[in-house]
Amino acid sequence: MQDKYQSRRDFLKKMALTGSMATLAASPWLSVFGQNSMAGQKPSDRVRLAVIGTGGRGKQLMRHLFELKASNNVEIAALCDVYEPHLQEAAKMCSEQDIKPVLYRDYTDLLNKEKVDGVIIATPLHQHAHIAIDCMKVGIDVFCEKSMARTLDSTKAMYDAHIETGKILQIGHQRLFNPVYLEGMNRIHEGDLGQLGQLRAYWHRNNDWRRPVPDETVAMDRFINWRLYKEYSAGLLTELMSHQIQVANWAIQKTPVAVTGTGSIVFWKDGREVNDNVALIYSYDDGTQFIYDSMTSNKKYGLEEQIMGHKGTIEFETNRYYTETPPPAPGIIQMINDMESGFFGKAMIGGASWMPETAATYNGEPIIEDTDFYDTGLQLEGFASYIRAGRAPEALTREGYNASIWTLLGEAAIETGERLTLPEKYII
Amino acid sequence: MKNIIITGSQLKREFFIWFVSFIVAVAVNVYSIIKYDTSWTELYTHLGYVVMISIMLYVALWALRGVFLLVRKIARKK
Repeated sequence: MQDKYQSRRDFLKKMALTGSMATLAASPWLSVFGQNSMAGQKPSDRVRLAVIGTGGRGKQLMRHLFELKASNNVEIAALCDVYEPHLQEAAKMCSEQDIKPVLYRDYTDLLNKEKVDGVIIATPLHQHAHIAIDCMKVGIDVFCEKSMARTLDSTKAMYDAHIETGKILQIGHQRLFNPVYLEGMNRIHEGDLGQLGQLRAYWHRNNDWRRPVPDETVAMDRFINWRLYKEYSAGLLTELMSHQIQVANWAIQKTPVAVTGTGSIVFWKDGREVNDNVALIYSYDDGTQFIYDSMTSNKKYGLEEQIMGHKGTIEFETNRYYTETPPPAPGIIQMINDMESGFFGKAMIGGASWMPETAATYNGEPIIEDTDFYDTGLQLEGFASYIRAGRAPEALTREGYNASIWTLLGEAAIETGERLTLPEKYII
Repeated sequence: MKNIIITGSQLKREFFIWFVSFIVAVAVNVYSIIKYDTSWTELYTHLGYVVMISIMLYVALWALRGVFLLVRKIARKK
C-alpha cells in the first residue's frame, strides 16, 4: 500500500486508463463514483457524521474519515462510546487533526442533541440493531459495520426499518469497493471462468482473540472480549466469515438454499464460548457449493477466497487469475523437463499406473496491476456520496443483509447439526 | 608459485570452442521450438537459457579434453 490516500477520483482515472470502465458499469453501487464531480466545499454541502463505537474498528474508520475531510467535505461532528478510555483516545485522535467533535456516552443523547446527516456504527455486534434502527427512525442515514446484527430477527428488523424509513443502511463489506474484487467479479459475471463449480474460502489465524482486561471482573471481561461470548457474537462466523460469504454470494449472484456445518473449541479452552474451529458448506440452487473453514490455531494458509470455474480460477486476496489452459512452457524448458523425466524416471505411488495429481506450478496473472487502494476508505467515500444523493443502491444493502442472514444460519446449522434452509420470513 | 601463462592463441581457441557450444545451444533451442510447436520469439526471449546451455556444454567439453590430455600423458610416460 502506498502512503498517499487514493480517492474515488484516482480510482476512476485508473479504471479508465486500464480500460476497466465496464467494471464500474457492472457495479450499481459505484454509479455514484461515475458522477465524477467534486463534493461541494460550502458549509451547506458538508456531510456531518457521528461515530458510535470508538474501539479498534471505530478508530480505524475515523482514520479514513480524516483522509476524506478535505476532499469530500466530511466532518466528524460527534463521537459516542460507553467506554471512557476508548472515547478519550478517539477524542485525542480528532484533536490531533484539529477536529473538535462533541462527546457522548449515550447514543440516545447524541440523537436528541446533534443534527448529523449520518452515523457510523462500530459497536459490538449485539448493539448494532437497536442503535441503527433508532438512528434511521429519527431520519439519520446509517453505515454499520458488518455483520449486521446478532440474531436473524434483529437483522430483519434492521432491514425493515431501512425500508420503512427510506434511510440509507450501508453495511461495512469493504470488498464491494475493492478494485481487485470489482474487476474479478466483472470477469466472473462475463463468463471468463466458465461454469462455477466450487467456491472455497478460508480464514486461518494463529492468535488468541482474548484481549487484556483492565480489571479482573467477569463483567469487564465479557465487555472487552465480547467476541468470545455467544450472547454478543458468533465468533469466527460473524467476525470473519460474513465477509467471505458476501463474496461468494456476489460471485454466484444468488443466495444459498441450504447450509450444513460443524464447529468446535479445539485449542483455546479458556472459557470462551465461541468455536475456534469451524467448517461449513453452503449449497446454491444451481448446484454450486461454497466450502468454508476458519480456525485460530494455525495460520499457514492465511486468508483466501477461491472462485473455481471450468475455464479458470480467481483468488481474490492474492489478486490472481489462473486459466485452466495456461500457455505452454517454452520449448527449451519442455525439452529439459522431458530429458529430466526420461533420465530420472517418475516416482510411482500406489502402483505403476497412478501418478500423484499435484497441482501444476503455474503462477497465473494479476487480476489488476494497481492495488494501491484502501477499500475501507472508498466505501466511506461512497457513504458520504450516498448521503448527498439522498439514496444508496438497494443492492448494497441486500448484499449486507444476505451475508448476515446466511452467516447466522450457518451458526444455527453448527448448533443443531442439521442441514438448514432459510425460513420464508427472512427472504427479501 | 608457478606462473600460468595463457597465450593469445589459447584464448582464441577457447573462445572458438565456446562459440561452437553456443551455436549448438541455439540449434537445440530451434529444435525444441519446432518439436514443441512454440513461438519463434523464444529465439531471443530465452537467450539466457541458450547461453547457460552453451556454458554447460563448454564446461563438459573442457572436462572431456582434460580427461583426454590426462590419458594421453599417462600413455606417453609408459
